[in-house]
Formats: sequence, C-alpha cells, structure tokens
Amino acid sequence: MSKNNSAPALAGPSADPRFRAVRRRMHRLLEFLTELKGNPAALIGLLVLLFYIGMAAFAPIISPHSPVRIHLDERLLPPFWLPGGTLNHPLGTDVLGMDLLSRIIYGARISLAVGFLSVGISVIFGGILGLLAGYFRGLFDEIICRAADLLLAFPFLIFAIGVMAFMGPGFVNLILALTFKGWVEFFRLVRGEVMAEKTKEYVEAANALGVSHLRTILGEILPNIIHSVTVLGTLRLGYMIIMEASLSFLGLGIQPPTPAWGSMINAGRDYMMNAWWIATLPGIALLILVLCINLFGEGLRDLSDPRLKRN
Amino acid sequence: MPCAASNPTRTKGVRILRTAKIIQRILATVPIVLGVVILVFVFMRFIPGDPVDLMMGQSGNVSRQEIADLRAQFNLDAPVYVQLYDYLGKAVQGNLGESYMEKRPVIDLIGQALPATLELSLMAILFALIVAIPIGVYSAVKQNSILDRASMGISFLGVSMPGFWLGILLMLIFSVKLGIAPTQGRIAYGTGLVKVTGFYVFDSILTGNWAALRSSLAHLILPAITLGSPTAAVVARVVRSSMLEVMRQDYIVLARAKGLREFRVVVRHALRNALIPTVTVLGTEVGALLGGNMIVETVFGWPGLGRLAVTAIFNRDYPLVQGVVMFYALVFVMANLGVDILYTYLNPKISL
Amino acid sequence: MLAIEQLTMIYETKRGRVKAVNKVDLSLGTGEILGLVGESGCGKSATLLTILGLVPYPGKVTGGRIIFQGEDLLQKTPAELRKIRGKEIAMIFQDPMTTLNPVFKVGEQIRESLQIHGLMNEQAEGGWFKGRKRKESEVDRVYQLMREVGIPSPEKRYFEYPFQFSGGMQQRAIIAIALACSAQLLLADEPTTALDVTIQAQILELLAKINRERETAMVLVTHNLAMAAEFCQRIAVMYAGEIVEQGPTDEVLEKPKHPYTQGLLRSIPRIGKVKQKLEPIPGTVPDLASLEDGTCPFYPRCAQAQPACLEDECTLEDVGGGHWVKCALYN
Repeated sequence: MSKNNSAPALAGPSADPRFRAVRRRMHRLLEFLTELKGNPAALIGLLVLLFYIGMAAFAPIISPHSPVRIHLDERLLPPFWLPGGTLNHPLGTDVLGMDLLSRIIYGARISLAVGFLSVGISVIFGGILGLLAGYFRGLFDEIICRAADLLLAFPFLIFAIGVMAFMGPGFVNLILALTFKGWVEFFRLVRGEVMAEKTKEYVEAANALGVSHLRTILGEILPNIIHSVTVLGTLRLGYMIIMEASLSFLGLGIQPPTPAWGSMINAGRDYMMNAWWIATLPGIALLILVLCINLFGEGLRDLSDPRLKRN
Repeated sequence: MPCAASNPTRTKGVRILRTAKIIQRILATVPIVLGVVILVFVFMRFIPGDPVDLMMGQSGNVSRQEIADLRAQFNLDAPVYVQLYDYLGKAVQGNLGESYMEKRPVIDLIGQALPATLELSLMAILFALIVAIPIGVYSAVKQNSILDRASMGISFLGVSMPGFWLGILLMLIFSVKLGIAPTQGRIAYGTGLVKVTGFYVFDSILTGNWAALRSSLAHLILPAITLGSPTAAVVARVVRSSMLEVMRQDYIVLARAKGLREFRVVVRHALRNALIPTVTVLGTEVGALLGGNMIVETVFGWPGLGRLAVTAIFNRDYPLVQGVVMFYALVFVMANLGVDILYTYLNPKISL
Repeated sequence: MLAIEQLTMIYETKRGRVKAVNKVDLSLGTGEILGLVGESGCGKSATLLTILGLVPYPGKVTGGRIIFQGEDLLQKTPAELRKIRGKEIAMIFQDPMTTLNPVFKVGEQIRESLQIHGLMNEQAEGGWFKGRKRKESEVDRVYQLMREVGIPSPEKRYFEYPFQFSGGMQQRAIIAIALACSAQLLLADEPTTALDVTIQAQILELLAKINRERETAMVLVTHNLAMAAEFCQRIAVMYAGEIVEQGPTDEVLEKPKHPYTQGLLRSIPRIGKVKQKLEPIPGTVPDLASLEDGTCPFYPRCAQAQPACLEDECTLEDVGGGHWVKCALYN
C-alpha cells in the first residue's frame, strides 16, 4: 500500500483519518521537493545553508590554520589579492596574526550551533507548551499566555542583553538567553494552530471514537502543524544567528579568542583605517548565511501559502 | 443647517466607543508594566551575590560596619516581598535606585541620555518611513518592473543584514574612505551649542547656530540610516504586499471609475488602506529599533541610553542595567500602545 | 448616444493572446436600457470596463471604436477620459460590500465625485470662505442624492462607514455616487447578483426609477435572462467575447435565433409552467486562449453545428426588425 497514492480517495485505509494525515504530509514533502526546483532562490538558499553546515562540520580539515594560533610576526596581513597578501593567509590575518579564513570557517560552527540549538530548544519548549495549552486550555493556558505576554513586552535584543548581563558571557548562557524569549513565538504559533485544528472534523472524530488525548495530539494534530513550525523555525534561525552575532559583537556572547563572527567584527573595528578586512569579511560570511537561510525560509513559506500557489 | 463639520449623534457614538476601546487598551497595559518591573526585580535577585557584595568588589577595603549600613540602606535584610514592595513603591515615584559607578540616581542618568537616543530613534523612523513607503508604493504600482525587483532585492538584503555590520560598513565607506561623515559622537567640538532640550538638531535651530546644525546632522545621518535600514526594509516589503492586495480590490476600480487621477487613487484610496497592516508591523519594529539602539550607539559612540546600558553592563553597575532594561521595556510597551491607538484611528471597524 | 463598433480587447498572456472582447458591436439610444447577457467569463464585465477606459491589466484594446456622443473614446487622452468617467459615464458594480472604500465615510465617498468634477464650484462665490461654502453645498447635494436613492436619514448616515451599511444600502450609496454628476450613461455590472432577492427587486426598481426620471441610458450586464427580460428594452447575448445575438427584448426571447440563445432559454426554469424540461447546454465555455480565429466559438457545444461553421467567420446579420444574429445558419 503506497502512502503517496492519492487515487483511491474513498476506499480502504484512507478512510482512517490518521492515514490521511500521514499521507498528506508525505504528499507535501514530495510536493515540496518538486516545487523547490521551481524556486531557484530558495534552492540556492538551501544549498548555501548546506555548504555552511559542511564547512562547520569539516572545519578542522578544511581550514588552513588553527583559528586561535597567534603569529605576531604576521599581524594585519591583507587578503591575498591586495599587495602584501599571501596565499598562506588567503583572507589575511587579524591584529594577533590569527588566520582570518580559518577563524571564519570555525566561526560558522558557533553561529550554526547557537542558531540551531536555540531554535531547536525554543521549538521543543514552546511547541510542547503550545500543544498542551492549546489543547487543554484552562488555567494552565492562562498562566503560560500571561508569561508569554510579559516576555513580549521586552524587545528581543534588550531582553537577551539583560539576561547576558546578569549571567555573564558564554556559550551555554547565550543559548539560554536566546531561548528564554525564543520559545514564545513557537508557543503562540502552535497554540493558535492547535486551537484551529481542534475544531476540525478529524479531531472531533477521533475524540468521538474515544482516542486518548495524547494520541490525538501526537497522531492527528502534530503532523498538521509541523509545516508551519518548520517555516517559522527556518526564519527564526537567521534571526537567532544575528542575535548571537550582535551579542558577541557587544562582548556579551562568545568571548575571544574563540572564533565567533560577531566578536571578530568587534575586534576589527579598531583597525578599520588600515585593515578593513578584519571587520568586513566575517560580516560578509554572516550576511550570506542569514540571507540564504531567509531565502530558503521564504521559499518554504511560499510553498505552503495556497494563495501564492494559485498564481 | 447641515454642515460637514457638525458632529452628528452617530459619529459621536463611534467616538465614544473608540475612547472606551482606547481606555480599555491602556488599562490592559497596567498589569504588563507591573509584570515587567517585577520580572526585572526578580532577575536582579537571582544573580549570585547581592548588590552590596558586588559594590564591595569594586571599592576594595570596606569595614564590616559599612557593609551592614549598606545592606540596611538597600533593605537587603528584609524579606523579598518587602523588598519588592519597597522597590515598587520607589519605582512608581521614579526612583530606580542609584548607580554604583556614578553614585547618581539611575533615573537622572536615563534622563540625561534619553534625548540623544530619542533624537537618533526618531530620525531613524523618519528615514525608514520616508524611504520605505514611496518605495513600497512604487514597487506595488509598477510590479515586476526593474525598480521593483531591485528595491525588493535590496530590502531583502536589509532584512538579513546585521545592523552593527551595516554601521561598520557605512562608517568604512563614508568616514574612512570618503571622509565625508564623522565617525563618533553627536557633534563636533567647538560649535558652542547651547543645550536647551538636549535634541541637538532642534537646539541648534532654536538658537540659530548653523554650524552646530550642520555638525549635528552630519553626525546623525549614518547612525540614523544604520538604525532605520532594517525597519525600512521591513516596511517597504509590507507596504508593497499590502498595496498589491489593496490595488486588486473593487473599491480601487470604483475610485478610477469616478474619474480620479491615478495619483489620488493610489495615495488616497489605496495607500490609506495599505497603511493599516503597515502600522501593526511598525509596532514590532519599534522593538527591533530599541534593540538596535544599543548596537548602533556602541558602533557610533552615540551617548544615549544604549551605550549607557552597555557601559553599565561592563562596569557591573546592576541598578543602572536594571533601570535601563526596564525603561526600554516600558518604552516598548508604550510604543505598542501608541500603535494600537493609531490603529483604531486608521481602521474604522476597530472602533466598534 | 453610445455606439460600439468592432471593439476588440485582448489579454497578452504567456499562453498567447486571449480575446476577451472580440469584435463587439453595440448601440444604445438616450434613455434606453440594454441588457448584456451571457455566462460568467464571457467578456461582459470586460466590455464595460473597456468602455470606461479601465481595461484591466494586462488587457489591451486592439481595434474598434467607442463612439460616445459623437466622439471616439479610444482616441481620448487619459486626462480627457477622466473628465468623462464618473461624470458622463458612471458604473455600478457587482459586489457592493467590497466596492466602497472601507476607510472613508460613505458620504465623503459620494462627495468626492462632486468635488473632483467640480460640480459645485459655481455655487461658491469668491471670498475668504469659498472652500467652506463649496463644501457645504456639496454636502447638501450628497444628502439630496442619498435621499433620492432611498438611504434614510442621510444627515446621520453621511458620517457612517461602509461596514455600518447593509449590502442593499451600500449598493444604493454606489448608485448615488454614479448619479452624483448626472451621468447620461450608467454601466451596471450585475448590480443585484450579490444581494438578497427582496433587495434585488428594490435595487432594480431604483434603477428603473432613475431611468424614468432622469432618462439615463443603461447597460445592464447580467447572467439572469429573466431579469433582462423584465428590465431591458433590448438584449444582446454574449458568448466567448462575441455578441452572438442582439435585438428587442421580446423579439430575442420569443424568437431566439442563435442556438446559444435557444439553449440558454431552454436551460432556465420558468415560473408558471407546471411541467417543464430543463435542458442544460452540454459542455462548458471554451478556453479563450485556445480559440482559433474565424471559427464559431460555440461550435463544440452546438446541436446544429455544420461544416460551414468552421469555414468563414460570420458577421452579425439582420434577420428583420432590428434583430441581429451571428451564426452560419442565418448568414
């Protein structure tokens, strides 16, 4: 029995609402892969994101130098295409003679790790709370919603800066600071969708059949909201990466000499007169990554937007 | 005698309902504001060591007696809820404690830095709206034209651009390479500006000091562009997409069928409707703008709230950090309140 | 007063040129009501918009003439057209609930027509408060218009927003906009389709009254033959962008010539007949992009199709009494 076969619409297992949900999802995945071909920008976005992930994963293999080794005799070398540059340090060196290319490659690790972890934890935390709150409502829902409202009263960066100020810099603290507020958006999305899904027939049918709440949530509702969560997650990924860079730039995130793009840009500010590349190049790496994540995210969203699909 | 300017009963009804709505909305922010203050307070209590310990760490030799005095002064020996009550009571009076470093009331420091931040933020919003709305409108009207594609591409770039990096880039190009804009501060030395309101542009116009006006504008322009660009990008995209939506509506055809000029159709009939979704986006953008403040003020050495906060963080000046964070949150809440009120005026349906 | 000759309007699409309006001939005398009948998507609304010079993007007029009061509208500059639009030719739309601008007061929307066409300018004498005077007289005129179209207590409802109006009242307000400058020609695009049946009758009655009292000529676009029969002096039947039959209402309904008109009449129920057989026309309206030039677009669905239908393009032929048909059967 093929799950992708949509022809016999009324017969057999398709009458079971759960199969319908699974099949719809499989169908969407297939549709997504074919339609992504028609959206070159999103495809490029995905490919570049994969490239960055590969770069981060294989950083020790592909980077020409150690990202933290100091060569005081090779300070402030320009990129290779400028006079004085060498291919030994293709993108030049910073004020301590550390190789910029290697630091940029390693910096992808920090950015992606912080981005994926903070979004991932936010999705799990916000998603579970949203499912429970939206499904059961009541006092629990009320309390979480008030907490979410309270967090929404803070601008994101201000909140993160405040939290980092009290907790101190560091990788774990950074992720905590970003997720403290990051879950709210996923909570609101999931809660809203659950409340909408709950009124639909297949959930009512499942309830009428005496299916347990847990099975209803996991089996019926979750598959139907996973797509919108993915879209929001992708778009938030770029945002979280910018937040990480901003905090590191302010000196509140990842501390030098650990290579993070934000702190590299900060370090390069003082040498803009004679070594513009130190501040500029990590920024380009950051911009391209965020740009491509957003392209991919928008592509995902457009695929799921029936209004745009019609045109 | 009938006259358009008269105030018939029906409109009065709309107005009363709108006022009720606004009052309701204002009342709804009270618990949020209270929650913000409490949350920030609780966070303060969570940090390891109490404020006095932290102060001790900075001032070196202190006697036991002095520590005890300070603890009493900060009310640290009382139960937490008493402290909270005490704190709330003071906060209501505008007393946010005293800065460790400056030994001055936090509220004074905030008040001192506020005009700089406000001047920068207002200029950034102004820049964003002046640039974004015409671009959004034009892109929608000339959909798929080269200009549309170009401006939407740039705005996409703007959405993905880290603010601090844009600031550095602008500084690199206009200050370092071209040398046409100053890099740091609000105004050059020696312009002899008399400070009246703290808004330098306004003050220099007020006192007729043209050298100061030129200097303050030159200092303002790059930070304002940096701060406003992400907002401009978002607003341009929202205006464009809502204009596209609106231009498809039947009432646009009616407006044309009435014999209106296309300009009037677009600006009066279409834009007025497209601004409704735009205003809601502006609410969230204020948050981005406030956060961006800290970054931009750091990059351009702008002596405002953001830099005050960042400096305070590195000095571990917790009352000041607490005060500024709280202040930012309150500004954000108020800005959203303002946006909601504006919304009721733009969208007649909301008022009923 | 209005004579349309061989009007053709096409949409340039990726799949080719779509003739939304194909060699349409129509004529209308002062005070006359013409019914333009056809299925959805046959080009009725497009014809009306073309008359107003509001061809929807990506449409383009490629041929023909629109003679309005002796002048070809297609030769006019945009500025000249604007002076005619809303002033001499006005339009009423299908869905009143979406036709008024939601953010402006209804009265102001009616007043705007007076304002931009400068109707009340002469009322205001020069002087310091000229603008205010003019506004006052405009507002008075709006009250008068609202009363005329049957909106009760205009002094109150002037200041209401469209969403505070019912659908019928909104349509009345739109009619008031159309009447504001005493247009001689009213283009009504299915003005009652979106309304309740009882309101439909009221709106039609209002239009009839306007026609009687003001001698306004009207083009009524509808897919409802019964309504056209009741309301119009003449009927033109449109199919796939072409006028296939045109003539006095009784003539067309009693003695339909074109197989399409005959099919249409057989497919609607008639009140009063006890036993009737409804025969829907087989097939659907063809895809306009795939139509070939010169062949009859109704051919695939036509019961009386013959080889001649595919050969030469027919023209509208007079079959007597001002009754015109475009069909190989009568060519």
